[in-house]
Amino acid sequence: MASEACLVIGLGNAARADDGVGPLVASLLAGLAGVRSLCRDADALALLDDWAGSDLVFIVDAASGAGPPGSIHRVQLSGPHAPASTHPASAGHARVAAVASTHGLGLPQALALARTLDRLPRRLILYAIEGASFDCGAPLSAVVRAAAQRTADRIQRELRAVGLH
Amino acid sequence: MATSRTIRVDAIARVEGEGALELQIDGERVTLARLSIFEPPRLFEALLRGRDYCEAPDITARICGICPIAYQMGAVHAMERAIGLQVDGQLRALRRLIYCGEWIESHALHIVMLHAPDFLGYADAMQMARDHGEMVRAGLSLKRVGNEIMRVLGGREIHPINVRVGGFYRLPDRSELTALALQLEQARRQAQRLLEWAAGFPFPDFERDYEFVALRHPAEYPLNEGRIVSSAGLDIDVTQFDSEFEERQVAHSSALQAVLRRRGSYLVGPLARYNLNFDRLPADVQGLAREVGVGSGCRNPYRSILVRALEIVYACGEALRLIAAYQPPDAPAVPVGPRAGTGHACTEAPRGICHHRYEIDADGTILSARIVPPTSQNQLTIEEDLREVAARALTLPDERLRERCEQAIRNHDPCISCAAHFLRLTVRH
Repeated sequence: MASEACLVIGLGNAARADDGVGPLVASLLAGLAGVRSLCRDADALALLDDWAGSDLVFIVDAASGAGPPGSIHRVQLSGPHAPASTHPASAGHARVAAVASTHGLGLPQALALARTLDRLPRRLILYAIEGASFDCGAPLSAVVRAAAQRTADRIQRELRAVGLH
Repeated sequence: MATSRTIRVDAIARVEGEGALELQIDGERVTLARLSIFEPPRLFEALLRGRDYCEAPDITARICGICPIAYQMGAVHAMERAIGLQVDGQLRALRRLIYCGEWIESHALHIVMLHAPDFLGYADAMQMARDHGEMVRAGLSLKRVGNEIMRVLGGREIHPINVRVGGFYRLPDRSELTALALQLEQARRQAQRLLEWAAGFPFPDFERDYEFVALRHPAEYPLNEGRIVSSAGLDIDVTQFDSEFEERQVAHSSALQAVLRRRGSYLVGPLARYNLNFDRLPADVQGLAREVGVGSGCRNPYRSILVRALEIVYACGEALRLIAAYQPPDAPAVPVGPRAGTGHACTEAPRGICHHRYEIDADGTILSARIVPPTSQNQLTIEEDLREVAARALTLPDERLRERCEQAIRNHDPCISCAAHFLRLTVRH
């Protein structure tokens, strides 16, 4: 496992308050040995190329409607404990907001397509963090900023558990 | 007994943006065919007023995530005309190259993710991928290559940041272009496979006598420049756009509808471009067109999917030609300076001509801006298509008729929706 590449993808728009929590977590983990991190704010289809070649992938995204702000949901989308469906909303955990892009397809569609085309990473884990505000131009709320750090810590613990960090 | 049918799609899926379809049929007559655009106004033209003329390409790039290059190119060409500057040589070639990237990614996305499922009877591309995985992979791969051209030349794939009045901020390295060329060779083969695949689709027997409007250049298949011509004999400089075209408000759409002042509706986009510029395509692309049965002219909007595939083949070849001929210019941009003036430009966005007009003052402040995107020009034609398609398919059950009408809208790849898809259908007897 030690040689396995890990990718952290932060989904969201940093100019939309708590929607920027995914990119923040990705930036907190950037620079760790063996970890590549990147951010996406549109075009979920690009994920299929982003994670090509990565065995272990974490997606971090903002969520809405499944708990109080700052709560963290973890959904294993592929791998040993993954549910049969890769649709986050039916994964038996939290209902997760899709990547809302007018001009692209959302995360659920990208996951469905990846599964059909056999392009899912071997282990794909989604962390979804409940946001408090998605206002344009507003900063991250304090409670979500704290949740971002806790999420980064949890991902680091997962990496240690598989001998990656 | 006469039947009154109302067919509505409140949010049309597999198109870009947010729009709705409403069809009213009384007995054997289609009494209403309406494409409603309910996205709120974007207000970009007002946003541009008071900004510096050099900011226009970065602001207008935000209009669209799929075709930002069209808006950037319209902005830089119009501003350069306003200040009396002509950008030639390799900088012009690089602009053409980045536009090829946009055509490739936009057309590939539309063909595979939005349009093809209609012909093959799938609800969406995810379902289609189970049976046509290779073609979906090819489409996604083409989209990636198009995006890569935009990233290398534009700095990033969506809303590029490297385009400026006078040229670019940074020139590509030779190694970056060499890597692109390798990908483009494969992309061209994939585009041909996509074309052959689409040529096997069942196409409804449907033609209309559109007035096609597109750019026409003395030597090139049009991208960045040319005169505005039509199949009814229009042939004008881009500065005469306002004298021939008019945008009108309609109650059911937040987008203005453009019409030809003298003749009304017209069609822009791949079908128009192709019909008016077939002779500007290289012989190999013309040969492919004949092989798949499109020939030198096509008035069946359903077959526009083939024309898009042909345009991907063309764009891959053109990009390869431009890369092979590339010699780095002395500087990434020619010097620019403001002066009072008005500039017009018209370029060929993937969905058709996109016209820009700006007025700037002596210090470069934008006094007025007007942008006419392709979809506003095609709205009326799409509604006419809907009326005709429905009139010829009245015997179909409601669900099939709804699907046929949605497909008729997607024929023109309008930039209005990909929101959730739900239908309210009422049948009154």
